Amino acid sequence: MSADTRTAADLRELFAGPAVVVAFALLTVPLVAGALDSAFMTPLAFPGYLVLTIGSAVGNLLFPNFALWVYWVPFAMACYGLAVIAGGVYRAARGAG
Amino acid sequence: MRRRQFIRGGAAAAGTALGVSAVGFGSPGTTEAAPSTPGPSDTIMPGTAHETPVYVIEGAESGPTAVAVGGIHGDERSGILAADRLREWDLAAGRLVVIPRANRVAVERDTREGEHGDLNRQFTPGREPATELARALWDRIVEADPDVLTTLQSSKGLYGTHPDFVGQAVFPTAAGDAVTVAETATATVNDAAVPWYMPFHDFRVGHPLSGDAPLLSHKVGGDLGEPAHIVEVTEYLLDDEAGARWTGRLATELLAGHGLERAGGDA
Repeated sequence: MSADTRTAADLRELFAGPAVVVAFALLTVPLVAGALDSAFMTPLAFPGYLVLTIGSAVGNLLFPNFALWVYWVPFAMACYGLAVIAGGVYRAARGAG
Repeated sequence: MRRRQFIRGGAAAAGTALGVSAVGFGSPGTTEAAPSTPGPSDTIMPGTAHETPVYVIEGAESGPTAVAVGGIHGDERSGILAADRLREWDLAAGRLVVIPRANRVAVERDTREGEHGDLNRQFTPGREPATELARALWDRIVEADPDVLTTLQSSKGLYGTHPDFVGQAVFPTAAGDAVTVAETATATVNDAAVPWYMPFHDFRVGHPLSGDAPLLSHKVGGDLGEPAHIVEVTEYLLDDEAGARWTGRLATELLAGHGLERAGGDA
């Protein structure tokens, strides 16, 4: 395997590896389900709930004219960033182990 | 109570993991059984586009009179649903007058405003209500001679969290013991109904209504000198069904705080 190929694989693992996908899904899916139907709002939604609510609170303070649904976009971006960090921590922990 | 919420929430999480709709704070399937629905006692503005029913529930014992108004803004569905359930109450004592669709035109259009603008800006204290509908509504309220009034409304955000919105709050009048009752009612509902994993959704008590703004509750406090409450349940991460349940629970606690007791316990 060339160095370039290894670097591309590492980057893919860093930004779209299984750990990243799982972390992103854990942050977003329970909250989206609960938002669509309150019957599906469970404690699993708590991390995503914190990200969206705190983010929209700051957003509403800075941009009071924006509707709250707008903050689903930065919510998704923030969750992805957190998922990349969580994936990196997971891979580092596994490497250390 | 918090522990009970936690356990219930844990069960919900387990249920979800198993693909079962175990519900943290109630599912459509767990709503109150459809009771027998009595017909309206009378109507406001009969024969017009604004014609809307009024339901009067008499308790077995004498007691205070409460008026509950839904649909003052036509697009605030949870308040309308909750008012529809209030008219199916059995009362142990007192009298409850329910107007579920105050602004019928706006309700049917699913818009905030009806034919003549925002109905809840037409009740300036000390003056005649601004439109024919507002006058008819006010006359019916005065005729009921309420000891307390509540309007069942909704908002898109969270009071204190989203500075531009007033959802998840009760706004009491400064009249009577409305503030104290609101504080007790919100604490009870926060403890019993709002899940621990939605901490920003805890209800708050808003500033007391001073009596000079043109809202129905201000006019009740200012002109009648009676307690009134605006119940604002959020639409943020909450569907209409759950919003109606929380609205109903708050109305139950608020009206109980003013001496209006349901027969056979609360919702």
